[in-house]
Amino acid sequence: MQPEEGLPLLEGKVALVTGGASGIGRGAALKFAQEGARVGLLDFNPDRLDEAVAEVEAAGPGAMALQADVRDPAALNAAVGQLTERYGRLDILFANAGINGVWAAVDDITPDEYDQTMDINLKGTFLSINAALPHLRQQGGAIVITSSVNGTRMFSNCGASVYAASKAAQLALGKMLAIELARARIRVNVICPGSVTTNISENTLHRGRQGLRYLLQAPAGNVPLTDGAPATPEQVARVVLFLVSDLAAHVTGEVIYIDGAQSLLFG
Amino acid sequence: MDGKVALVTGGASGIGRGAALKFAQEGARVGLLDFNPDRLEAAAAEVDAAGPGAMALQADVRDPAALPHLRIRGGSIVITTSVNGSRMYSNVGASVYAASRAARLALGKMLALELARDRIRVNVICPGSVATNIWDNTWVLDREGRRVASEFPVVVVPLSGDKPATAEQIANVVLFLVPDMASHVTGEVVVIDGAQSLLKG
Repeated sequence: MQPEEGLPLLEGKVALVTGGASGIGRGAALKFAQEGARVGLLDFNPDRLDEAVAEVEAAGPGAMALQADVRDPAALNAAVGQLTERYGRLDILFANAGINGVWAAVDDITPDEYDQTMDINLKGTFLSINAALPHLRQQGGAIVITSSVNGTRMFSNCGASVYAASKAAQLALGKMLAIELARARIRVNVICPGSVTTNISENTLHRGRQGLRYLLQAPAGNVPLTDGAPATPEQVARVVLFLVSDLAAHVTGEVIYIDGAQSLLFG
Repeated sequence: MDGKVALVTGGASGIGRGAALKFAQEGARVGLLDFNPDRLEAAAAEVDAAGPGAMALQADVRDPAALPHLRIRGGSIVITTSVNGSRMYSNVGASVYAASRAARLALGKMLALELARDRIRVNVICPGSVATNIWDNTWVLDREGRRVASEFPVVVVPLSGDKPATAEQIANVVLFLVPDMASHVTGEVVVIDGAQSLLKG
């Protein structure tokens, strides 16, 4: 199917965005709404959620707040149930919720800290997909997973080893599912943002990693396209919009880096 | 793409023609460059009718003197490569083609960094099977005996149940890479193959 000229790209579609209350998720939810989709914003953090939903609702045909922890399958299923009950279908999942977690020497990361990062970033992606799949299977759809340059192209952020491992695993999961779900006409793609203006640093705990790093300071102009300025969430959101829309109707199992050539400059 | 001017090489047919048409529909003026004059006029007329302007530029891309002078002040370059040579290596006999495609990929990535300072983004697309007339310039000579024997599954394009992509599906991705939707995307490779290269490498 090809997009029709002049129509919003996501007319009639229903989307679920995890980590929807802030940063990239909020930017994507807003973009989806502006293109005609009804959107469920799922987030663990209730504080920002209502404000984000109000903004997204004002921009499009409908939005709802879904407070849930992506580690909790029952809560995810309930949230997806609420969304599909209200809007009648689900076409798009943006599996985006994630944390940086503890960035520290590997021998200083506790098993619980490891679990927290992996459970939110990787298991949360797995559980979100499984909660959405029965509905996506009804008519086909699109899944986009937020991975990162860390763990896929950049390996120099010493201390971020568990985070990077979770991001690499998300990428492999996405590619495997692209094939598995192609038959159901569900496309699965992965985005790898570089530096983006978000509040992810709020859920990053740096603990004594100074001595680990080879480069204490990133090289000047480390984002070549912008002389060092990070991407805006909106720039990332536009790529997500492309991937979930019919513009990308034949694109699946694909990975798109949104980093202004940052990872070509240093790995 | 209002107010933009685009040059499409290989613009007379297939993916190039599809992209030129898409650019025009989005408001760009387009130059269609091709070696083959036969299809060029028809393609330029079609693109002209769809947007604010199009012109036919007959030239051989091997001849620098024949190519239009380009001075891009900020902008976007998209290079067409292929799944062959970047993700698929099983088309025995297509080795020179695949090598040329791999070289274009590396060239694109190198230039993404070199031209970032000038605000020129450079990206690469890798289509899988597409309905085009590229077979008109393909010569297959006695390669059956050299192919690695493999019974391949009936379905080779998982997403579309074996149908190749349309030129328009590829053009839509080029359109995404060109204007502001991809404003922070450079040095990137987008594979458009309906998961074909994940099934058969």
